[in-house]
Parts: sequence; C-alpha cells; structure tokens
Amino acid sequence: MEDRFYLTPTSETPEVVFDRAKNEFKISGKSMPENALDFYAPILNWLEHYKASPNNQTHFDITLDYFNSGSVKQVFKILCLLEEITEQGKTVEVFWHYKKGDELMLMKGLEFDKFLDLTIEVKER
Amino acid sequence: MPSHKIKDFYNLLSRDSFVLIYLGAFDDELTPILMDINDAGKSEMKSSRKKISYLIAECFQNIIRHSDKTNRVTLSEDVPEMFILRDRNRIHHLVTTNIVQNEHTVDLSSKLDSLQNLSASELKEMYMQIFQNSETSAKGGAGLGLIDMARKSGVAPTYKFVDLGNNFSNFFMQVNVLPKDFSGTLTEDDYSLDSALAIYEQMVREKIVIVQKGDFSQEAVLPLIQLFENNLNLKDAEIAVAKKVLYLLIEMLQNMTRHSEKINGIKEGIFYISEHGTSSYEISTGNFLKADQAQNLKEKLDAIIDLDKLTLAKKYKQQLMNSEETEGKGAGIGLIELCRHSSDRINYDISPAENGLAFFSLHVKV
Repeated sequence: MEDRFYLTPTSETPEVVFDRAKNEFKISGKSMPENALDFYAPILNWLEHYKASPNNQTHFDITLDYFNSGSVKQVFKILCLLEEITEQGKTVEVFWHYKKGDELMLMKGLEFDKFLDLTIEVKER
Repeated sequence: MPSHKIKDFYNLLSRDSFVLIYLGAFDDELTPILMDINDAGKSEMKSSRKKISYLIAECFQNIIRHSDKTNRVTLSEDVPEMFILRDRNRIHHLVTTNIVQNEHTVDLSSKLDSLQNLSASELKEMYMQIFQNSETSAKGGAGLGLIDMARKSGVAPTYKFVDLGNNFSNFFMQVNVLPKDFSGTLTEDDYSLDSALAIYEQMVREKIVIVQKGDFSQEAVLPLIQLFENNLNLKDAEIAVAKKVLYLLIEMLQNMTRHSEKINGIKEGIFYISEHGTSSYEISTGNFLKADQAQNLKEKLDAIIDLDKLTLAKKYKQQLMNSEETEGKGAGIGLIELCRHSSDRINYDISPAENGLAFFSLHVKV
C-alpha cells in the first residue's frame, strides 16, 4: 500500500489527502460526481488497506461545501471503516467542519455521529 | 406552482433545442458562467460557439455599462433584468433587457435603425470608419459595440422599448445569430421579439429566476449550479436556505442526467427555479421517461411522499446502513432526501407523451 493517497479537486469532486506519515487525512471541497460509487471506490479501497495496520491515532478532517446524496452514502461508508479501526483499540478523531449557518451540513455531521459508535466532532468554520 | 405549468412552459419553448433564461441582477461574474453553459453539452461547431461566447460578453458589457440604475427608485415595481440564450432552427438568439431613460430611446433607436438592411461589407465599412475616427459616445463606444454585434451575428439586432412610466423604458434587444452557411431569408418569426416579451412576462409573473431547456448531461448541470449560486437573491439569502436549495437542486438535476430518455440524441428536459417570498424557492424539473420507468418511479414516490419527517429520517438511516448498492427496491436515498428536506409536500405529475414516453415533472419547495 502506498503511504500517501492524493486526489486533486475538480469542479465536482473534493480534494483528498491521506498521508500516513504526517497523520493527515482530509477530504475537502465539493462532492457531486455523477457516479459517487466509482469516485469513492479507490478512496475506500485505500482506507480498507489502511485499516489493516492503522496509526495508533488517526486525525480525520471532512470539510464539504456541497454534496449529492450519492456522496453522502459513500462518506458514510468511510466513517464505517473508521469505526472499525476504533474497534481494534486504536484512536480515530473525526472532525466534521461546516460553514457557519449551514444547518444541513451540521445536521449531516450530527446524524453520522448518532448513527455510529465513532465520535464525530462538528466544528463551525 | 401547479404541475401543468411546467408543461406549458415546455410547450412555449417547444421549437427550441436549447434555452437558457436568467432573470435577476447582472454582474461581471455572470459572463464566464454563461459562457460555460454555452459551451456545455452542445453539438454546435466550435467556431460558432466562440462567436456566441463573444456576443454574450458584448451583450453583458452593454447591460452593465448602460443600465440606468440612478433613478430607478422612482419606478413603482421591481423591473428585473433578463438574459435569454436560445437556439431555434439553428438560429441563436441572445436577448437582453435593461432600463433606460426615455430621453435616450431616440438616440438608441436611430443607432440601431441605421444598421438595418446593411450588408456585411457595408457594416464592415461603417465599423472601420467609426474605428478610425475613434468617435465614442458619452458612455464609451456603444456605436462600435453595436456595429460589431451586427457584423458578428450576420444581421442587425432587433429591439423594442416597453414603457415603464416615470420616463423610463425597458429596452429589449435581440441579437440574432445566423449560422455560417445560412442562405435563406429570415422570417418575421425569426427576428420578432414577441416570444421574448411573452417569456419575460411569464418569468416576472411566476417569479422564475432561472430556466433551462435542453440537454441535461453532467457537463450542463455544473454551470447551472454555479449560475444559481451567483444569483444575487441567493447571495443575500440566509446560508441555511441557500445550502439546502443547492443540495436539492443538485439532486434533481442529477436525477435528470441519470434517468432521462434521450430525444434527438440529447437528454432533453426543462428545469426552472422560482422565488416564493424571501428565502423560499421552488425547484421544478420536467423530463421524459419510458412509460414503465415512470410507473416504477410513481410507486416509489407514492410510498414515501406522505410520510412524516421522523419516519423519513428512519428510512434515510436504513438506506445509509444498507450495504446494497443497487437501489432497485424502494425509494433510493435521493428521493428520501427530497421528501425530507422539502418544506412542503413534494409534487409530481406524470403525463403521457409521444413514442411510448411519459413526461415526468417534479416540484420541490425549500
């Protein structure tokens, strides 16, 4: 597995930075690809491998301006993988950043937190 | 808005293979977005697209430069500006409106009239003459701009003044862009402003801010989202509403991209967004589906349309947890989200169309 995973942002997909050495895990920007399943497949694949030998502590930031419902489901799958990492006794800190006043994005963060045994900290920006 | 209205609007534009209508405020940020829309998903030749992009920019500069915003307060009603780009029988039309003081209408008319019936070479000669004399009007070169527009489009723009009272008029100008190989003669219908006037009236009456009819491929969807983001009313609206509207807008436009049946090689459909008071919007879409697809969709929608928010939230959670990727059975997450975040019950209608297809329209309020 590569130690680093990177996707450049486009007008419809977010920037993705996973850097094991720096303990930097970030998804940020817009996420509205026509086919969310295809777009997220390599991301989920990388994290699936990462899950096999994760850092003791994983710092994960999600900052999304817009997304489509297809992406919501894929992001949820990412969070499920992170939850599985915590089940191995490792620490995962997830920060869900939302723009001030963006009730929808806040709601998504709070819901994910409720649905999972993973602590998701919502942060206004 | 009752469901039949989207069909009426669709019929009003039935001869157009592409239409974009924007009502609202104009600023410099708008020009590149409209160019993207012009570029997206169209089969036109590159040279013709480039020409149209140039004309869009020119039209916009004219509006921004010449709009008389100084004494507008004296007008009793809000008179929004409109931009139309349409493709009818291979002739493109660009329509703009802006408010002018009546004292300028005579001068403007005579300038435009002087271009009527001029041949391409006569227009060129006129252009060169003014260019060399570097004559500029008080507002900076309207003369040259107009002549150049006529040269590029192949025929003089048509125009009309609609009196607004209090010494103001609404100035409608339509640039008619002929295809390169155009050899026929223009009919009254080709250059008449009647259709644009009717559209304007309907837009203002229904408080519609954006309409697009034509192809709904992913490339065509992205600039539309940008266009709406840029809409001044949205900028001012509370961010909570804005984000919700965009979430549902993306959902509805992408649904069209995904499920529309192709007609004449494009995913033909219509979309518009209207304002209902402050910070309240209605998004409407209309597109063609196979009759059995439409029936299937109807069953999915009927199963969730009247559920309360709490039950919808549960369904949403179930869908998230469901690891099955094929969302064949039951309403997918997208439809659940539309019902969940719409401020009113969503509305839909299915009516039979030609060739075993059905026209499906959907209305969601935020």
